Amino acid sequence: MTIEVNQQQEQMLDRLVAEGRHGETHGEVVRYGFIAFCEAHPELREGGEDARDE
Amino acid sequence: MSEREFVLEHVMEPGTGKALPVVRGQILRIEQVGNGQCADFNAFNLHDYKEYFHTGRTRHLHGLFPAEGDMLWSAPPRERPMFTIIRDTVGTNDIQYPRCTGFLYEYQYGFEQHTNCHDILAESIREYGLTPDDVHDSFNFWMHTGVDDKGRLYIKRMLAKPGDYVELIAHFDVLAVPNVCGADIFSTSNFELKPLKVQVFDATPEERERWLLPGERQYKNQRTPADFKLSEIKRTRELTRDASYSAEWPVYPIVKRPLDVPLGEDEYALIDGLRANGGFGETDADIVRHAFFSWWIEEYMQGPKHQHAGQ
Repeated sequence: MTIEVNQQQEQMLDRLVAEGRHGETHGEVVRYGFIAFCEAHPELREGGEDARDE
Repeated sequence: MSEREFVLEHVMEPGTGKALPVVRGQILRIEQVGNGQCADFNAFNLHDYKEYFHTGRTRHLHGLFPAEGDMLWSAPPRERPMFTIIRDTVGTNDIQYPRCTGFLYEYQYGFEQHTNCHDILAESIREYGLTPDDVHDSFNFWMHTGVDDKGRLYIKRMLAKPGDYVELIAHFDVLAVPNVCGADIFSTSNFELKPLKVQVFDATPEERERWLLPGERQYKNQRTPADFKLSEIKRTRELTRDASYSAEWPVYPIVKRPLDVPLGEDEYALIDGLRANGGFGETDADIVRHAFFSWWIEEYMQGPKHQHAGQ
């Protein structure tokens, strides 16, 4: 999938890539953060609480 | 524990205020003499009066009712801690209400003349060559306020008693300007005006070690006049257009580029789960963007997080 980012957001993604913990490309970093947020907040997702219970 | 060095003391009678220099590492103490009196408060950089106290940034960073441990910030684009409140024996302060003014008492109550914080502050800072236009929204010590369920402000009964005090340590050289709030027809000071005592001390080495922030600016965006395209203070009141003006926006143009995010079936299921929440947007891209930046805020943002993800 594709999202749009501007040059400032790209700078932020550059810093995250440079950290080396969340992915090697901007896209991988966005994927990492997206998944991390979902895992941290199962209560915000339909079916998320069930997933936590399991 | 070392003893503080006493510097000065002044009692502000009702209807008065006092502008007094408080240099870096000194402590300003404001103390109740009578039974509950609000002190409105302005502050200026002693060496650059255009840097002055800002209720907005203070409210943003410390909430509606700053108290012990919180800081008083200067206005953008300077945005530095001016003081830290190192002691507050009551803990009811306000930064929602602006200083009361002559207009307020005339418009709302029919007084053609009435003690008011704006005029008292203006007369106090005149001692240092400043004008009524330099008075700014005040930090209101001991003003006991609230917000109702419709978002409207209200004033509660003053809780301070004789001997209650606040102490502020200055992080740089400041002209501090407390005044006895002129409101005797509100519960701000329980419907009567009373004196307030102000004192200045040199902080002890222990207090400096515990509270004082570094003297140097910590961030590039805590700007000084040296950073301004126009660094001179305007001398005339009339506003006229600069015919040679050509806009130089700091970041422009904003250019958006597509970014491919590698997602699999499991991630699309997560997107569907968030879509059902209703608080993350409609499209897949909206939802991924909202969730990703929410993660980033949680992980990386310093200071208060004004973010409420989802519904």
